[in-house]
Amino acid sequence: MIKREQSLAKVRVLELSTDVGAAYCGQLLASLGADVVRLVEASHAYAIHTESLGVTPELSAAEISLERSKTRLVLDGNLAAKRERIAKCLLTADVVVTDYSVDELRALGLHWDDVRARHPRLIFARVTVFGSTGPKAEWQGGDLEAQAFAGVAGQLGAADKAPICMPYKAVLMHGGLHAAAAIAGALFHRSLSGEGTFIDISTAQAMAADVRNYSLMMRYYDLPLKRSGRRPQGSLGRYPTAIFPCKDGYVVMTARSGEQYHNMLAMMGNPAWAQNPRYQNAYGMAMEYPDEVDALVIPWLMQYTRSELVEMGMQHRFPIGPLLTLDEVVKDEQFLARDFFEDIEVDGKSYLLPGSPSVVVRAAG
Amino acid sequence: MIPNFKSLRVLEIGTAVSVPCMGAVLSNLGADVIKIESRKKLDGNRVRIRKGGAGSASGGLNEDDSFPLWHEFNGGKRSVMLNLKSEVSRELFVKLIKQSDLFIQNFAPGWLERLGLGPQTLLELNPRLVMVFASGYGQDGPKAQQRVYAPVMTALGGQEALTGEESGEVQGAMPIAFGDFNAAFNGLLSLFSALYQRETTGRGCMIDLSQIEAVVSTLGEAIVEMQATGKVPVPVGNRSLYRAPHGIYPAGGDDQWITLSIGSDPEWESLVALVRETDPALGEKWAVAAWQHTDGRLKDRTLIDALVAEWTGKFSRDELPAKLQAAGLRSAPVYESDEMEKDDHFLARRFTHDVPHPRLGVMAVTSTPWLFEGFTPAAGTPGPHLGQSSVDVLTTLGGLNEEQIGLYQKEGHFD
Repeated sequence: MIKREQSLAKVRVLELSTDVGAAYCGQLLASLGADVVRLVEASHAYAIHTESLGVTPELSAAEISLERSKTRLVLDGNLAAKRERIAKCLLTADVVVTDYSVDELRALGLHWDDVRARHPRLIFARVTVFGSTGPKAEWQGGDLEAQAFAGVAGQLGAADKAPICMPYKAVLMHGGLHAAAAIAGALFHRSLSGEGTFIDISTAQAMAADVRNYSLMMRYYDLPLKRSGRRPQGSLGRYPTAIFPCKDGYVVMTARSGEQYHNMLAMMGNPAWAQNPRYQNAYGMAMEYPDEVDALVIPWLMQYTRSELVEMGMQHRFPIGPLLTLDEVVKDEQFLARDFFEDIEVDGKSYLLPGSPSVVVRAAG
Repeated sequence: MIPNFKSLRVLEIGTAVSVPCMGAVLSNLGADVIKIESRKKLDGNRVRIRKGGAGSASGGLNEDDSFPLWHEFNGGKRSVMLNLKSEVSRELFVKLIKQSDLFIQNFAPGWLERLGLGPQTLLELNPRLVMVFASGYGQDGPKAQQRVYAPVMTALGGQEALTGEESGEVQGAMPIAFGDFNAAFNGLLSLFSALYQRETTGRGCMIDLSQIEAVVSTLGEAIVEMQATGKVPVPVGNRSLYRAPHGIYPAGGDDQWITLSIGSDPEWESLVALVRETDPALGEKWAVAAWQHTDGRLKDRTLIDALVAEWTGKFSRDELPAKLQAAGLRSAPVYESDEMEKDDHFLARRFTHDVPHPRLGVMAVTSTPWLFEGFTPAAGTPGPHLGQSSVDVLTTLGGLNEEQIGLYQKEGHFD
């Protein structure tokens, strides 16, 4: 039996989340064994509930995924009662994670400035689209704004159409991951120093920090930044790097060295066209005329299915992978062999959910 | 309190993004990160095709360290050359392992075991050691040996097939390299948690991180949706089933865009008021009773989108979001990936920081995007030249003198 981590087993987390970023942060901490209590107010509108498919009258798809292993605590009564309840919860909390507005936090007696003096060991993380400081800290936003501001949408989609976003609030989720990692770092540091801290995560900034790397590469090669459909501009520095059609769908091919390009040619039976110096010019193929090379490669790909191409790629040590749909993902033998998915039951129905991607191996004996 | 991990020593044998990015964050937080390198298997960011196409198709060491991603992921680290196929290097590696807190690596599963340096051996040598081994599929299972990079990981994890136009046409998200960055921060979460636990138990561990599983773990909502409806999710572009209007709309100028998203009836009223204020004639077309409610707006979404585009196109990208935000509405400019660093908001949050390089001048390197009480962790020095700290590390931690180092170098033990 594979052992997933429980390394935060004695950590208590208070979560006040409205959307998936803070909720994912809480779920990641819960998956590591933390005792996560999600505080909810009956009168509050929660995007995690209203902007996700309602699966049961109480739970959306996002909540089923992100609230597992947590305890839900309803904050009822008047404001004074809520403040009292929160103050009590804070006595035993190690971590607060929230995406509430500053005004909401102040009203609940939960603004960082208010609690730090009384709870110097507390780690307080606020996860919002624009963050807690800076001239746009008060801007409103959700995942759409985060993807736009972070430079994600600007890179995705066809050149002659509007930019597009990654699905399922990917940038808010990524911000939640950053928050969880920063919280874990702060917990470790607290175990050495005894001190808590305030962590300010902007989901847009967390993603922008990643996206900027693509622009640095393009700037290095003097290539314009422009979304270009299924191939990143400049082929990320090496041909082939793109999504290609094949007989039964799409595959991704991505070479990271000249050797791998030659492995691709070997996989294709070393076609005669490859002898042309034009198709030995790594820079030209990646940056200047990748479409021309595609026109030689795609007819060959179209003869084979995704699985046939993966098999040939493995034989020739060439990185190629199928674009899997989610129904294929959940049946993948690799994930099943590693006990990656877990079952949870909601209203008498069982749901399969992805578990933690980290397996812990301890010293034998 | 601002975390500082200067007491942590980290060994890294990493290539490309996932593990080097983890090492960079640790370095930015003060840890002593020693990058072990060999000419036989250099970090991918040392061997990128040169600017202008110089060099062979196979690439080779970028001697002047000019590729910017090298510094993004390796700032503040020390480089020491060891070739673990040499017994001399393996003995030195063992000495370093015994004096380290962390060991992170992302080469193909099994390579360390083949050298007699598998995780169980390393834990015997240093029971407090925390390790992260990152790979596409994880260290075991029937596909563990398959070679995969970030875009393949997101394809195998279902992310690429879900990203596309509202028509369902797949476009993918390859430029984002999500499979690498997502793995890096999952790795950091795991290793910090393991270090936290080590303070109680005194025991280290090896964390086997599957980068593909990490991609799938972000798609739990979609997987629940699929099971609840019986339908396999497909690309939906920018469409929302819950908010209207909601999307990316043209602004004035060539290929300029903004977002706009309305989530409630009062927000719609505010938007209509703003349209009427700025363009009374156009505002008349918006006065449709059915659109005062979300259901009506969702039903007529296509028609409303066209009207929104007509209105947003009259403003500049950098002007309209501020106007909408002032009205209490969600909006943002759609930035290219080199533009956000110039925004006053990110400037104020120290999104990048200047790092001087002796040959390349001052470089703007991305900071770790975690603000601890207003402090943004960042590297103070550029990525190291190959083997820059070999002598320093091998004398202070390896127990060699300079003469021995020179001899071993001459004999090829470190290449």
